[in-house]
Amino acid sequence: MEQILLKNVEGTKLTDINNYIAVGGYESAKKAVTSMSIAQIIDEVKKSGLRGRGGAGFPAGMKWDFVPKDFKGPRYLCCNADEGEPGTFKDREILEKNPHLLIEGMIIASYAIGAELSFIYIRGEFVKAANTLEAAIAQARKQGFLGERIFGTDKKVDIIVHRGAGAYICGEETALIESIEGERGNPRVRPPFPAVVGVFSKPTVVNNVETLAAVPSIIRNNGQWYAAIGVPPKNTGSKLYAISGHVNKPGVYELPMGTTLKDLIYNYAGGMKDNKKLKGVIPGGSSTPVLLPEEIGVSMDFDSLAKAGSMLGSAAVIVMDEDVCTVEESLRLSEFYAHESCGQCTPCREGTVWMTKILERIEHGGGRQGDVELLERVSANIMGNTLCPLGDAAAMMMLGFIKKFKDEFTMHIKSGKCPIDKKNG
Amino acid sequence: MPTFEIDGKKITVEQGTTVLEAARSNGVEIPHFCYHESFKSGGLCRMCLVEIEKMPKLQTSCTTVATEGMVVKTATDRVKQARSAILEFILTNHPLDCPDCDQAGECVLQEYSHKYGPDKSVFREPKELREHIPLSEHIAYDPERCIMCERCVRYYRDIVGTEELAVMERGAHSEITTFPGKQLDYGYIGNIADICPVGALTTKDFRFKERVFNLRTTESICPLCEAGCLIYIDTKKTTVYRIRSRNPLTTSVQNNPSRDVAALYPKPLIDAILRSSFICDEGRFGYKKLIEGKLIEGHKNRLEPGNDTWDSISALVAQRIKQSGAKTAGIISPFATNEEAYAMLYLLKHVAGSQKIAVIEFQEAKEFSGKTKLKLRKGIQVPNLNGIGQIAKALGVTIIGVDELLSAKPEMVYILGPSFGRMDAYAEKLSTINYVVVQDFKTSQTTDKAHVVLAGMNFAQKDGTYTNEDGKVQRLRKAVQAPDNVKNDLDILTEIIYSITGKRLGSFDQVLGVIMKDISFFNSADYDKLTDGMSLKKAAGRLW
Repeated sequence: MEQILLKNVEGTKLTDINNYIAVGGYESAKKAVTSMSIAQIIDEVKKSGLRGRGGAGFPAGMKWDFVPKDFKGPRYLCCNADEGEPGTFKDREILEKNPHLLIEGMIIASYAIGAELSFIYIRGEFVKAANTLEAAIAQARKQGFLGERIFGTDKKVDIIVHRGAGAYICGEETALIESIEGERGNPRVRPPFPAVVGVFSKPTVVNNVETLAAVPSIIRNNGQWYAAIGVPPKNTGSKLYAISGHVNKPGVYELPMGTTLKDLIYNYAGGMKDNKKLKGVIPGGSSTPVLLPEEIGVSMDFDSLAKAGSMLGSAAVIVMDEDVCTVEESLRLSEFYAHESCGQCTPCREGTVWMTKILERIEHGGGRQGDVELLERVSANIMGNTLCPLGDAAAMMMLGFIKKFKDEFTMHIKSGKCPIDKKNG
Repeated sequence: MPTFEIDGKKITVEQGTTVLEAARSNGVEIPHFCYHESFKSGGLCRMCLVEIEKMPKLQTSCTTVATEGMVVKTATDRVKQARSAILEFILTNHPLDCPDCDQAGECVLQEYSHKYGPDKSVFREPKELREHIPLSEHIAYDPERCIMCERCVRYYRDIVGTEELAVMERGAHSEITTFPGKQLDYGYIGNIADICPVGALTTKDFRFKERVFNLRTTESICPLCEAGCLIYIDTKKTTVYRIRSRNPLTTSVQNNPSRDVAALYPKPLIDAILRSSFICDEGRFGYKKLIEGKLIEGHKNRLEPGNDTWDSISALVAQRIKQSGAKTAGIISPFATNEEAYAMLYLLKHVAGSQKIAVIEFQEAKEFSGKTKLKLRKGIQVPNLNGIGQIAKALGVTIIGVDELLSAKPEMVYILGPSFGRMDAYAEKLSTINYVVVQDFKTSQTTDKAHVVLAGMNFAQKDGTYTNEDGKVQRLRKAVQAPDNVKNDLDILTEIIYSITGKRLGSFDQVLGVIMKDISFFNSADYDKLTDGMSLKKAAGRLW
């Protein structure tokens, strides 16, 4: 497959707008804004089958279509660049190396939903990426691609880079919106959904970086062209897989949607580091339930992974070798969720801390009989009862580890110590 | 007007009504912590989760708007399990210090734990310990007990509008606090103790004083300004322990994206909602100055020391009024109830034949400093100026100033208190009057010098009605028993009238009946709804 998102990033300095234009950059945006109707654009995106790359996999065209057509007043587009899911570093690749692709995608999306002002909510730690984006936006403004009269039309599109302050929860779209408004980044109750009541109570579309970056290629070619890539009809296009952990070549790989996990680990990522045995893989960021070695034949797409009892999520593949203690790993993740819980709603605020305390005991030799069942109970009580998906993520992670590695938990409790000899430290 | 089903019951509600509110007004209990009728719901506590057909997840009923054909179930196993889970989560860090906690007995968490909670705890980890956070000299905040329902935060955001409270820190470390170094402005602080569902926010005034389950609650009216806010008086034996706001209206500000109460309702209605839901700190804490102090212990006759029994003293006063006739002057406290004012004016006009009447002057009820949206203070710092004025008008009596009245050198002056020392300024002029009768419950220079002192009662000791600035007639209720050596103010007046004329005006409800019959203002006035559903107007004339 020809690369779409990371095409030309090696060797060409695409952060320079001239280089980007030289490889056909901004032609799609120009085409969309000057020669296509809003309905045509949305139709092409719908035809492409492009699904949200942030984790939930919601069809992008449909999301755009949800914005009330008859709404009078401003609407907004937010690009979610708060890439915070542990294990995920795919968006950074686009932000740092191909910022104009994102800007071009945002121009098209803004035009399609009628937004004159858009935001890129970027995580605070991405200093380099934020600076790169700022510079790229300035270049695009100078070229007349952004600003008052884009591409010589009477249309107005501009982008503001809004830097986050380090909260994981701000990657959740409604918390992100609150944060843009200058409020504490707490998720909102849904409904109303952002498409109706979003930034400053106006209709808002929140899309992931990778989703928006895929749009120019869809406009340049067409929806059908994009839909032919991957596993049609529902899991189309290219996908950035960020693979990390105990593999020889960790990194970001742009591959057709539906590449198998096995192919990804053993072919693209160069197999297991030090030829260790594979113990488990988290396929889509820390929230997604862990898979066992015998399950890695799975196709890495939304529906196949859901069928396998996990999720594609942000396609952040975390590979764990035989030296990994799954109790320790789940403790580390549980600590993360407890630390990042906004504290608004009861089950997440109290549940994640409780979970962490139990895991801490088990890991440090204080496990009690019944602890595994208790962990299951706490997780089940969080699941589905929270205001936003953070609690669910913690519970899903926990239930995943217990389901796949129950024996290891039981062994910790029985022996009062970690059975894994931690060679890796 | 959507019709939907809740636990098999078909209910039709106003467009925009949430499932929780619909349930509440139809007798279906859905437990909740963070929901409060006065401000926008956040769906935070997750206690009000219910099952709704066609929705895979349980939904928070406080944020879900009822729609046509919706089928809601509030008592399925799934719902019960979720409630039990939420309570279990809350109790992981909530201290089980109910025996020490002031809220015990009126604690929502305690109540729900009994009703919906798991029967035993499986939490074996150490609880988080927290330091108290100073918010105000009037309020104690115990973060350990806090369940983060954020009612207080939303109260300051949506109702007071000053956003003085905020959640700081995150997750399990979250706590409610003010801007560093700042404390809450005095004015509307006390309400957060009322709206806190647990014992996290308590007034320092009431803290550790008495167990709430030993208290008797009486519905009454705040006497500290002409707004006439609805209050509860909590008492034990003869002591008033605290004043709280009454909350009879169930009006919602849900689905209000602007989060602004004012945007949703016409101004008079908002005033009504706020007035009925909240009271100011002056009313909550300031009541003390109306009941405490050096009290008058029994009637006193300084002209004939020792001859202080009610029978002899009342006969004497009646005699003097008869003698002075039209030269009798009356000074009325605006703290007098409608009935007392009527009896006093009746005594002066119809019995003594006098036209000389003044009302003791009090200061204006000033709003508090700080830019609050909530403004409850109204008129003068007294409860019944309007009522007295209406009665005087109807009886054809012109009210004049105290100074003018005393300058006219009346033969006798009858001061119907309480005067709270406001008559002391007229000491010189009063000293020239031949015969001064003061009816009050608290001593002042004036009572120290008066020829006759009649021992009356404070606002918590008697029944009656007040007419607020808006012309609404509201019920003051006896909350505590007065000591034996004092006498009900209205009874003092009616017994004097009886001993002169042989006519009995009767008890306060009978007097109110007469007022209603004779005075057109009271006949058509707006009456406070009583909790039993019976309007004050209907009940007047009967004992209740």
